[in-house]
Amino acid sequence: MNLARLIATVAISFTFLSLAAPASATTDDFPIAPEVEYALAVEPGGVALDYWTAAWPDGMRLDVERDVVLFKSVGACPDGRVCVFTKHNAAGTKLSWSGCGTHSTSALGGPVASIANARSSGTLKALNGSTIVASAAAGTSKNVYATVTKVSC
Amino acid sequence: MTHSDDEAVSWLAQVNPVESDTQLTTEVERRRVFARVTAEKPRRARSWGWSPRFTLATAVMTVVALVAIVMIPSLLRPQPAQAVTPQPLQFSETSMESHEMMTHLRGKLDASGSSEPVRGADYVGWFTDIRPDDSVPSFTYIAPQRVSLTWEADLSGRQVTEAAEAYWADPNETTDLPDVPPAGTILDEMDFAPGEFQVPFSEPFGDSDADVLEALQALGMPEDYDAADLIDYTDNLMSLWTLTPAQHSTLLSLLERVGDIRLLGSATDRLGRAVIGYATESSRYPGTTRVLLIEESSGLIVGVENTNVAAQPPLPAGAVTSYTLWKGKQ
Repeated sequence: MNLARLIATVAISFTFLSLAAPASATTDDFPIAPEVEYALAVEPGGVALDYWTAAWPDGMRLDVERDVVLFKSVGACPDGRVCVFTKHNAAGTKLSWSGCGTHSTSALGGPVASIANARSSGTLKALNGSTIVASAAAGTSKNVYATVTKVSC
Repeated sequence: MTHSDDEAVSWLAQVNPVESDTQLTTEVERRRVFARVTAEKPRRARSWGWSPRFTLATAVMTVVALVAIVMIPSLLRPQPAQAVTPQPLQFSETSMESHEMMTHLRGKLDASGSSEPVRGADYVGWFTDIRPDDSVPSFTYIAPQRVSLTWEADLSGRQVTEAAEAYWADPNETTDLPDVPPAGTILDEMDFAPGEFQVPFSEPFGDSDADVLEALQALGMPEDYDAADLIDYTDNLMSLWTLTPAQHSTLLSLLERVGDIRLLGSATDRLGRAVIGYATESSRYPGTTRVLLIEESSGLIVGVENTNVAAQPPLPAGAVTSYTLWKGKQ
């Protein structure tokens, strides 16, 4: 097995495993919750203390609620991501994003048949232009029976 | 969709590397102590004399440098292109032209088959995982999935996704596959309580042109559909319903009448069945091609494959980006 193949295999094994097992962001040596990762990205200067906690030099601190099931995959949509699929019930070819925003679905290469929101909060909307044709609350998927050009959350 | 408490506990256990608050506290404390110790560690005064330790270090560095000089060029040398998606099917020319073949296949459909479509579907498929904000996926081995969906008139249902037999993308690869879930491993289960399953219609539909078109359009097919749209929504329809032979016949007839499909020829599909392939380029999703597979012996639609027209690194031109295979007669 050459080096390129080994690297590719490792990468794909990770991608595959992410379908079956919930994934989380990591710092150099330990995983952190998506909320912690997000907070560190938008408020630079902080550090992750553990999976659930981040702190900043000015005394600000983030403690993610621990007694709530925050993250789980929705169908084949991995934790913390929003996804569109070519098949119903969160199956088929998948196009996904880790962050919220407005995303074109053209890269899916075919019609959107379902959407899934594997984030811990917020609603994922499927739009045809500016018309909302379906929406999925956090932790749910929705089948879509209309043209979709983009999603927003 | 519902998930059991056990599943939730399982997810938490996998997500949360710290199993208890006690362990969490210990871990945080360990990090704090480690940080304090490393910060307070006194630094040695530097000495640049020829000590035995320095001589040994120099020797080690020299060896490492020599190994690097020898190895790096070979590591950087371009490697031959490797298979990163399933191999495209190999089609052989047939003695029949397109229309004659379609008529022949429709004639194979069993007129005495089921008269009503059945709610639910069973298919094996492989699909790309596109992450615009992440590393570009590539595949050295292919891990298909089997999806079994059942649902009822009260809109209850269940979908089970299992691992199917994995295989190397490169058919010439003979080494063992990496540690992938064996065929039959359940990857995902979705349960739908009555009223939860989301479909635009739940009653069996007929096999006339109007009936089938109405079903396709209820799923979202545009009114100005082309051949690729017909295949896309046939794929969707067959992933919700198991159709009758007469409905297969109508779909093939609609496809032929809308035009712009070409006969690829005969092939053996990924489940070892003799199939006839027709292809069309999608105008709605430029740069993609749909391949419809029809079982030679039964005339049933048994597969849809999507391919790229142009290269989209790391995917070469013509790369298969997904396939869905349904049961046929064989």
